[in-house]
Amino acid sequence: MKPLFQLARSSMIWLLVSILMVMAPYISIVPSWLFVLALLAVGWRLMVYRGRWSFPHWGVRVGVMLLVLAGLVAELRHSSVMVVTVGLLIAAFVLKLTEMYRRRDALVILYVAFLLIVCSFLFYQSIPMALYSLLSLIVVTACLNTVYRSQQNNDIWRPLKRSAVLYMQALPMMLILFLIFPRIGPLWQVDMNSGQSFTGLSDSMSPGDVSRLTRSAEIAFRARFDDPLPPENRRYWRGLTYDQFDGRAWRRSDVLVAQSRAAVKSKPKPQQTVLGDLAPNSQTYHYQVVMEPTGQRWRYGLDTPLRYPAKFRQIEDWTLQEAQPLMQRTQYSLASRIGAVREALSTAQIDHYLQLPSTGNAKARQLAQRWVAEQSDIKGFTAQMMSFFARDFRYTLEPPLLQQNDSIDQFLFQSQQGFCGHFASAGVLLLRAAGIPARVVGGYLGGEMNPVDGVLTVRQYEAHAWLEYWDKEDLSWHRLDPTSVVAPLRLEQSAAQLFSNEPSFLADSMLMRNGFLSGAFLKQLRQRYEAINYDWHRWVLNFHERQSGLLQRWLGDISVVNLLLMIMLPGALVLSLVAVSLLRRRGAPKDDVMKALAQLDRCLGPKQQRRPGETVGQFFDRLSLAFPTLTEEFETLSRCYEQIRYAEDLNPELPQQFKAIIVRCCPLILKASPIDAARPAL
Amino acid sequence: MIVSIRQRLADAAYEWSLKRSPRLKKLTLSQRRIYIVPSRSGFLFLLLLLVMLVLAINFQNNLMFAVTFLLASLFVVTILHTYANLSGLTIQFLRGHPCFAGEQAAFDLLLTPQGQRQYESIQLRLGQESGSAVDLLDDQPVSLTLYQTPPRRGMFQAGPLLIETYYPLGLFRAWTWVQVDLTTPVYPRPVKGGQLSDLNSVGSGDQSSTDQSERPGGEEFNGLVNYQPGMSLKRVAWKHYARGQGMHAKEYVELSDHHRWLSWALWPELSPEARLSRLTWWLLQLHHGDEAYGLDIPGCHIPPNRGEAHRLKILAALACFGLDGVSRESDLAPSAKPASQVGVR
Repeated sequence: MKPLFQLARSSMIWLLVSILMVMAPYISIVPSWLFVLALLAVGWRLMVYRGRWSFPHWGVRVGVMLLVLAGLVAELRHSSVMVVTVGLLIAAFVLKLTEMYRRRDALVILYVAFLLIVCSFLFYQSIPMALYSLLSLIVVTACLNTVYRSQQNNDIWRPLKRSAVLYMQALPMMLILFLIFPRIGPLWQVDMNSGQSFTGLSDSMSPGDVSRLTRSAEIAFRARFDDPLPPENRRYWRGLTYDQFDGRAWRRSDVLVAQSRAAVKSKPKPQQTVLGDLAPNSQTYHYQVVMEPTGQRWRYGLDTPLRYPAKFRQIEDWTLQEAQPLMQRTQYSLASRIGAVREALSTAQIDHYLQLPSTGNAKARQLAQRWVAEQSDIKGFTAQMMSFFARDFRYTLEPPLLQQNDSIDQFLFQSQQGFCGHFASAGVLLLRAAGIPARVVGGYLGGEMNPVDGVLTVRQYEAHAWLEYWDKEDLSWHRLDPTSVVAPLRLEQSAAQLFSNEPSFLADSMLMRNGFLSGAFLKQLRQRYEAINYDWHRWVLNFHERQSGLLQRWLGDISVVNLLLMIMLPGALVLSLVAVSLLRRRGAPKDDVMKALAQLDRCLGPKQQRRPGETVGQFFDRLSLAFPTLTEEFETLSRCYEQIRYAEDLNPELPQQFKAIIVRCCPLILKASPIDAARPAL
Repeated sequence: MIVSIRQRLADAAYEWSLKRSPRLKKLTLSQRRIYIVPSRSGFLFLLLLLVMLVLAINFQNNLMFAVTFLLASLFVVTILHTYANLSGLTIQFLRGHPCFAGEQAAFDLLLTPQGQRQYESIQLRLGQESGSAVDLLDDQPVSLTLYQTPPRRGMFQAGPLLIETYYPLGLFRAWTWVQVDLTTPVYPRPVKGGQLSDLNSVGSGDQSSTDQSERPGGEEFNGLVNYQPGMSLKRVAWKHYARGQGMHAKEYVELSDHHRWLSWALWPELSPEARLSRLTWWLLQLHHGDEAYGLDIPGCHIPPNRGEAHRLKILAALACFGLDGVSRESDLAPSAKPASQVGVR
């Protein structure tokens, strides 16, 4: 092996640092035994580096490799393919470490490191993560640099500087490419499931489910309105509806599920579905939503979405559906109306929305029958129901546990404490028992306005459940929220204010709960950060949704020629700047004495200035002859110069003196006419 | 097939590069001379970028796009850095050191950076020899010695000089082949054998013309000379010094006709090259002895003398015997061309 291709010792250190940096983000993703293996490999390599141990026997290496493969195959049962693939990359990466002698071995590791940095974005996409990845890139590139430098050069920080400079120079080009490169759709269908679990609404709702969500401060989605925001007590975000009750939990009926399946397979319809007539006083709101991944097919929209992207489908209950589960943050524009919606229901639909288990909750049914007898119309019935809730019930995040059977009876007549889910499900049961079609709606209520950028942030703890009933007199669906009468503050205040005394509220995010982030200054800070985060989501993470509009605005029409020009012209400009900075001829820095001599040369002109090969002493001798009036000065200069250059202990003022004399001489030289040294002096 | 195409391309680049390079004592590398293409690991890197791009497209992940584009820009910027790592470098060919056939001839070069620019990990090599890497970090010229094995004795001209660099990231290889204006004599390989003892009896027609002469460094005392600093203390006439007559040195001369001839006619049974080798070996032996020696080969007659200059003169005569041209590396095996230089080995 030629020594030229052996790995330098300084690159070993960088290599180990790179490996640890690249693997750190995967700690919570890949199985932990892989990490133990990685640390062992790094440790072993360190011992080899220090000369204590030798490389492991090839039998050991093959054995470990087979074990790792077996382990990863076993992992496939409860992890996603993506995680196992990344695990495989990491395993290859650390095992290569134990058989690394040469340049090429290091290259394999570093190229895989680049790949792993890219793959980490499948799991994390936050701003800190992006910055961390940039740092990792710089370190890995620095390591690549050490591989290619000569053995004798062991300056440990130099590669890092070089790498940082490279990235600074590459950054403008990258921005151009990022903006211009056309975003095409996926080349083939990929499994987006990266094994993460989501908090959020699920497709069945038992009364306790919503209160579970209040433990989390995770963001559900963000919305930015074009016009003024809807009033706080009208911000009902529809997620999905539950139309079937099994005595315990509310679910989506098979009919509804089948309908949404059919809808997503259907051809795109005009973006605006024909809804029934809307109540005349309703207002239309236009807004954009950035929705966090839920792993589900539904998409959130304000009350009744009217206009929505072409890839969405709207089904009977006005919820929005998409064909693929949401595995990555997405962005879409909607237009919604708030208010009652007119819709003629068929008999079958009316039956469907009256469905109840044949038995159970007998006291609740009796109560409904009693109210029907007392009230003449539906308005009266709902009013009585609401006043019933308002009178005796208490709103709490930690209601007592309800038994399996007749849970609604128990809630209505015994515990009388509950959360929105309890009220909504009890309300629908009462309405249906009274023969009024109704359904439970799951979604979010409210949202925190960020004054910095005007974006409404809706968090998991704002999850909410309410109900809708169909009034046969005006053939319209009406929203009814029993919570609004039990806890009117829930509609006025943010959930954060309302629940702040409940022990279980935000139990999973202590930082938010303990007021750490609620102090005025910190709150402002947090809002600013969230505003930046929102822009990050809109402009970077969802750039593919905005690119075409942006390019259209810049370029007029998007053609291949235009795009190429947009890449080539700024690219060429940036590269020329880099080239100029790299190739600029840089002369050696001159000290004061050399500068003074150069000044003297300038005023002497081409005939008299110092000739190549002439020593300074000879130069001044010649000048003394040429300028007899300045002989004394030139002799002083000559002496001065010798002292500056050769005296053992230099008088620090001498260079200044030297300079001063030259400055004094220059105007005199310009006035005097030199005597040609070649001519004999007369 | 790809390998053969690559080989042919490398050969063509080599030929073309040499054709464009005049033989110079000093040259500065510029864009007219520097060639740059992606190295093998550079192509691998492009493949990696492609994989990343496909990942980014399929996952619609804009951060993946960002990193892919960042690395692509890095790739482009590296072209400039690799190129800048050669351009402006001035190479001076200083001298060649003679050697015996079969040994490596050494050639001294001086590399001067341009202004304050820094150059790292520049690999240089002559012909097919293994090279050496050099850094120029503190704007000082760096001298280095490269070695090349001459194919045979005679005047040897250093083969083309390859200057290449993969710095900073190994993604590109910048290189140039330069014709080197350095020659050095290559002496015949010394081979032990034969006897020289009967040499003097061999009738050398010149023996009579070489009279007894005095040569310094002999064994006969000749007188005293004034001591000069640097003279051997062994030769100081201490007795005179002790008598207070000043410091003198004793001078000895050689009063003899003891000189030997390295003659072509000594071993008629040997082939010319073998004779030259044997003569060279005896020359080295005689040089360590006290006797004067001369060379007598066809076309060259050097009267007996002693000393380093004399030795070199005879060695040069032996080296060039029967040859008039200058040998080059390519004389060894005319078809041997440089192996493909692309990529990391």
